[in-house]
Amino acid sequence: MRGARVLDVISRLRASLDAIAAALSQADAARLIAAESELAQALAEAGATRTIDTADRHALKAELIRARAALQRCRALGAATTDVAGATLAAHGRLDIYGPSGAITASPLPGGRGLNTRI
Amino acid sequence: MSGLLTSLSMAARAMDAQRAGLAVTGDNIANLNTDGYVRRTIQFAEGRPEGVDVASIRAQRDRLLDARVRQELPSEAREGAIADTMSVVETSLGEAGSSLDGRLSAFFDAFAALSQDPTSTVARDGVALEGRLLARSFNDISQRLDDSRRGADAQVRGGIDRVNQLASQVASLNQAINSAQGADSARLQDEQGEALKELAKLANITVLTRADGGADVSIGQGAALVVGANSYTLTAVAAPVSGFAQLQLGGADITADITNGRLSGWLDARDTMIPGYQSQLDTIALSVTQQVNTLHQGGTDLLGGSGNDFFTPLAGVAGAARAMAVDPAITADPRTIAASLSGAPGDNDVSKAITALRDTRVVGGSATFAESWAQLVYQVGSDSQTAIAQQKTRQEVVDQVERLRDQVSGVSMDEEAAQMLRFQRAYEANARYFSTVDSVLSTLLHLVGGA
Repeated sequence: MRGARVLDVISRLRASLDAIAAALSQADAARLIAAESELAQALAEAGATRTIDTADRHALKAELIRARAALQRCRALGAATTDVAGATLAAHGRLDIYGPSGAITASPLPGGRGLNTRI
Repeated sequence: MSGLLTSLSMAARAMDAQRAGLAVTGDNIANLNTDGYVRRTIQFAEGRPEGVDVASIRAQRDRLLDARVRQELPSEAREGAIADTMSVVETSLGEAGSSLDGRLSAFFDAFAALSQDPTSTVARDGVALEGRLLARSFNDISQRLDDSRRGADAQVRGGIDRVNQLASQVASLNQAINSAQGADSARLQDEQGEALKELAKLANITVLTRADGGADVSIGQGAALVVGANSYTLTAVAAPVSGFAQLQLGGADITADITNGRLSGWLDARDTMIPGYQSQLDTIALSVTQQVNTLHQGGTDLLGGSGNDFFTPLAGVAGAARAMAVDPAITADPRTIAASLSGAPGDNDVSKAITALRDTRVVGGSATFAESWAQLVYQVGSDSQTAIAQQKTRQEVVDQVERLRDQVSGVSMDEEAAQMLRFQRAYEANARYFSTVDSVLSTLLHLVGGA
């Protein structure tokens, strides 16, 4: 497989991760939902690469670092969004949790919940 | 290393931003049942150079719908004030059969008994007693109508005080809004909205929103009540004869300009409706007095006297019910009741004629005394039911407009939860790929010699 194709593939992967991060930062659920298929497509293409053109090595390295940064941004924003959503749903009694018997049950109202500071 | 530090900093800012979002959501939920609270939303924006920042926290306020609600409130409030006053007036008329209708019936029954035995002292005592009870009934009902009127006047005075309090509050809020920013301004505008809503219930007001979010308010036909940080005092000035409150603003009488809201309802009840009922009652009282007196004057009493009144003569319609009384001579000596025309033994013509007044259409030439009373009772009941029905209709309109406004401004628990669930699910769908993406990137970085 030619390097240029790998570079293009990783560029698309980075772009889809940027789109997810942008959707999270804008609290745009519709964009977030739409980004899933783009990510899946880009990942499928990236997974199919086998060889890299050495002429594109430096450009590819830079693109990979940017993609990694975009992934970290997605995880950071996503973790905070999950905490906010979880806290809200817990307050509404709509967060399904494991009860004492091990069965899934609705959380009691109102729920206190700490903010997850995982990065 | 700089890449890692940037990521950490970015994530921390994201935490702060999302923490702000959590606070806004919590604020909305906590104020779910707070009157006048307008739902807040948080706007995130991409940070520079990277990450996420809070761009703004906005109150979802629709000024057009707010104005629409203020437009409907005065009519509903006016009908409510009238309905409340009418319920008091209705009770002042007494129960059917035991009020004036009962007293009229007993009075004519007493004269009927006297006509059976014109010389009977017991029957004469009965006539004198029923005469006094009838007069007292007119006096009492008239007094209660007057009390209702004074009650409405007290409501007007209380309403004036409340208008002044609210105007002062709006003026203070105008000053505070002018210097506030961001979340403080939104909270102050929520308070302003509630104050304006309450003002709109009291009277017909016009609100002009200032550029800084403050509000100028005029009342009636455009008299300034609030301009910026200044409010002007509405005063209650006692009318010369009645002592009832007239509304003055800036030295001008604006009573006639108050055409909507609770103040208008109370003024209408005080100055038009209750005086109308009072006048009808006075007409019946005057008619009873004049008709009975005319027949009585033509009769002869047990002492041989004639030309005497049964009831004390009245000057005119105004105040007739309040002043009605049995002639003191009758009260002192029932033998002065003229049951006979000629004075001959067994002559009961006058008492029979007075008894016959019961069924004679002498009030305005078209109604008996009982029919006139029934008409008055019906009028009060009808006005009361009309006000209640109008208020109900207006309330439905207010509810509908408030529902429209709440769709934008109100907090909906379901909407909040649905939004949160949507985000949670959408992120989870993407996040299931992240470990694979991480693995691919790590592998490729290793291949190209990256860290």
